[in-house]
Amino acid sequence: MGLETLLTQDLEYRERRTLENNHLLDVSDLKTYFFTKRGLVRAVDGVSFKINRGSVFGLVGESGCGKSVTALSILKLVPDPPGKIVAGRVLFEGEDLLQKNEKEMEDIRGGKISMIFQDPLTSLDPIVRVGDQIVEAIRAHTDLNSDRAWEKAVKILGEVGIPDAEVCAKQYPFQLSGGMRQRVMIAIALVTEPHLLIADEPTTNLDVTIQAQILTLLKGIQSKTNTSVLFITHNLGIVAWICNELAVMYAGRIVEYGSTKSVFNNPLHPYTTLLLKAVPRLDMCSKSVLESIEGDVPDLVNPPLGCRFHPRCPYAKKICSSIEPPMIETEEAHYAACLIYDKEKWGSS
Amino acid sequence: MSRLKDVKRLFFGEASEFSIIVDHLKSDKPALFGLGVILLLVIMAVFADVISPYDPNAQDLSRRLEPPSWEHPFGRDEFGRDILSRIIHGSRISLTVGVVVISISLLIGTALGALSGYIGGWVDMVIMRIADIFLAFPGLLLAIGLTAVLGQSIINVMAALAIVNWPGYARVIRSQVLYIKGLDYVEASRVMGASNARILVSHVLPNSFAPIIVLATIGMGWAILAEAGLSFLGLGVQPPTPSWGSIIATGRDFIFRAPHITTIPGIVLALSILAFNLFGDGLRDALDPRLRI
Amino acid sequence: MLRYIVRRLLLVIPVFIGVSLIAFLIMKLTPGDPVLNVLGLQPTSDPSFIAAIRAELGLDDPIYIQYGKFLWRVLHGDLGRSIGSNKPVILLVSEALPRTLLLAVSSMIVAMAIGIPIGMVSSIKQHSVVDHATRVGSIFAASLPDFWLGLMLMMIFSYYLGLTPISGYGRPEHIILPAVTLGVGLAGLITRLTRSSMLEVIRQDYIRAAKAKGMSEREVIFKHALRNALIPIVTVLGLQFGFLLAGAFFVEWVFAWPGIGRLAVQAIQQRDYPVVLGALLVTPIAYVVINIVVDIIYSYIDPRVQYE
Repeated sequence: MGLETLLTQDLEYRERRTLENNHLLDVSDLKTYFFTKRGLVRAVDGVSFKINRGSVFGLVGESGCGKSVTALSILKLVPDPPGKIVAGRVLFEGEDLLQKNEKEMEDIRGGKISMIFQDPLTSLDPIVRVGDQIVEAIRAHTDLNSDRAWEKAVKILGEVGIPDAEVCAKQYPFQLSGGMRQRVMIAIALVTEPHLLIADEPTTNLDVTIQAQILTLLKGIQSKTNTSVLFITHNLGIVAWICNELAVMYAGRIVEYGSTKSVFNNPLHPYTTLLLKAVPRLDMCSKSVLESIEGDVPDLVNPPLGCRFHPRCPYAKKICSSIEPPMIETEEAHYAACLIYDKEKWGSS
Repeated sequence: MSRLKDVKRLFFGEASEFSIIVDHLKSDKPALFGLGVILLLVIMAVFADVISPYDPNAQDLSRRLEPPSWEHPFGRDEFGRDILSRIIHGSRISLTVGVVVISISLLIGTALGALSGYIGGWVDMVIMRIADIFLAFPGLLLAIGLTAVLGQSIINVMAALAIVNWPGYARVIRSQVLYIKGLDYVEASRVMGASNARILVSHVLPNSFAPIIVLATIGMGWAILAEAGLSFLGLGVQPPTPSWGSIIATGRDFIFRAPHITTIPGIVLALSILAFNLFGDGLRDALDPRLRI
Repeated sequence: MLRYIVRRLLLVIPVFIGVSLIAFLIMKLTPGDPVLNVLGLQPTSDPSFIAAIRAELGLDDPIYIQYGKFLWRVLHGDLGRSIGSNKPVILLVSEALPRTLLLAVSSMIVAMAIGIPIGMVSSIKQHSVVDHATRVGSIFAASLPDFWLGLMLMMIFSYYLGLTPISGYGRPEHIILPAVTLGVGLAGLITRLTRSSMLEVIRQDYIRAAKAKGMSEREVIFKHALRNALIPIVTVLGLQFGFLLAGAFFVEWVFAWPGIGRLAVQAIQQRDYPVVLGALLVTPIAYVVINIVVDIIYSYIDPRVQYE
């Protein structure tokens, strides 16, 4: 190795170390498998990404690609059995969550890291008043007595845009509309002023108009409090609007990673390109054909060898079925896991 | 064994529904135990005369209340009769009552349920209201009341239990009939001239088979318990007929001097009921409707 | 809420009518001439005297008028007099019924105290040895004939161990064995029910969401899982009350507990028909009323019910 190479590497290394201190969340090589009767399901198979403070990070992919499991793994909420986090490191504010015991995790969950889920109706206890459910979150992390906690709960209900917060707090989930329920969930998540908010498809089950309201709410809160957000969705439109960075997942792996701007302007991975093409747009003419991606989502018990996307990839070559492509930095801070960008290997096959 | 595997095997013709059910049962140990005990009871009842070592009614007043011994493994009762023989003959009564009661209830229930579902209208309403009252209210109490009125004999007990038991089957049959009524291909075969009886036999019965057989098995357990209870209260068999319940009842007077008279028949009774319940429970699991494609 | 209660109470009426009809029919079917039975007269007594009494008692009226008069009497609390003791049936019955209810409620408490914890443990440790043992154990408990179990417990605890009184009524210790006897069978059912209900509930999203709030496992189970799991259990308890009543008849008999069961069985054996009739009439009503009470309790646990 030449002296030049060594110096460059050293510089990169030091740059990375400085950057690391800005990372709120640093996930490396996370692997979560499910041990089922059918076989070993590799739901999350080597996922790495970093989230900065104040960043809204999107995790995008089709159903079943492992994005929800990734989120659950961060909080160690994966149902065990049959799931288990088998490898990886999840650094949150410098500490590895995977090494922490259950009691420490209880402090973090709902405290420094909060999560909101896809279906607000089933995620709220049907026989407990909404206000009480917020109070539970408050009292799990602070020492407020029940009266003060109730006041705080009513206050935050107002802050998430619920009119008549006092009345609403005394109601049961079935008495509220879908949008209001989701606001309640957001209230529960934000009342403890978390540093990281994980949002698992929070608007998927809502009407389009309500979706817009909730997203606006989230964006507003995020910019006000500078909370980091891990936003999980399959909707690229939402990602474009609310996220500043994103990672695309496919079959348990990340295939593309970069800022929203660079990914949308210049999608690198064939999968990302096809995803973008499959979204109907207003500026398409009526004669244009929606391109769908051929084939089916792979079986996670027996994933394809090599690149997991190669059976459906229009550019696939023979080499794609034998080598797992690593993340290759093609533009600045814009990575793709595709051998196309490894000129040597691609060219020779 | 997973359900998914079962469905695959059925779909690919690797195994018939029947063999899948049998396989499930084979792996269910408590259910097999129940089946074994049931078979034992049947043998006991059928071959009672041959198996029992002594005449169940033969008295020997000089040897009253003897505890279990080699010659009399279950001891003797207050009249010196051999308890083992009485228990063996008692199985006859228990099983007969069970079979008769369940058969009659099944007949009444099927008839009324089919009628109710087929005719509909107010006939349906009336029958179902009656069934609901019977189902909601503890059957055993009704049976006690009925035997009080009809008189104390084993025949009346069987009648009373059958009257109390039919609604469960009626409900099942009725819902099957209603379901079948709505199917298109049934309409078609009607148009082609298939008679209602034929539809009943070829469609309703096979589909009702699973829930009915589970009900019937557990019902047997209930009927045996009910008969024993009624005989215990003196409302069923009359002496000297050796129903398990009546043996326990008479043993009650000597419970402290000769506990074996009450204890042993009770264990046999409990085991028998348990056997039917375990087997019925196993059947219910094996016949899981999720399997029906 | 009030409307709900009223609606449920209104349902008692058809049941009452149905039961009174059945009771009336039973009364009519009773073998033997009622006049002779009630008055203790011989068939050879003066026939015109008998005829006069029959006319006075309205026995020659058309059957629906007889039923009407019967209903009238019953609604006024006149259930006749016991043949054996000549006491008014209504008195005997109103003394006995509360005792039976006491026994039934105590048994329910015993059953829940045993069944719910075991069911919970069984659901948390699914597929373990404990779980399988519980499944067989609960079927076993539910299969035991209560009259026999009562005798066995009496033998062990009263006679051999001398811990409890043999039978009777009056002091608190008297209720222990009867309540346990009845409770064990019901406990088997409650265990299985608790287990399946908990398993169902634990899979729900709100349990995961509660954990994500940072609540401890124990808090989540008791504050969220158990409360929701109790809902179907309470429903079943209402239905099971009937079986409890039936079992109570036997247990009262074994332990000489002076409730309505013992009253009825004794009356049957002594052919004291007015008492039998009274007991048969009153028991179903008690059953329906208790069901309504359970319904009301249920509506408190599950607020969704009130808004239907």
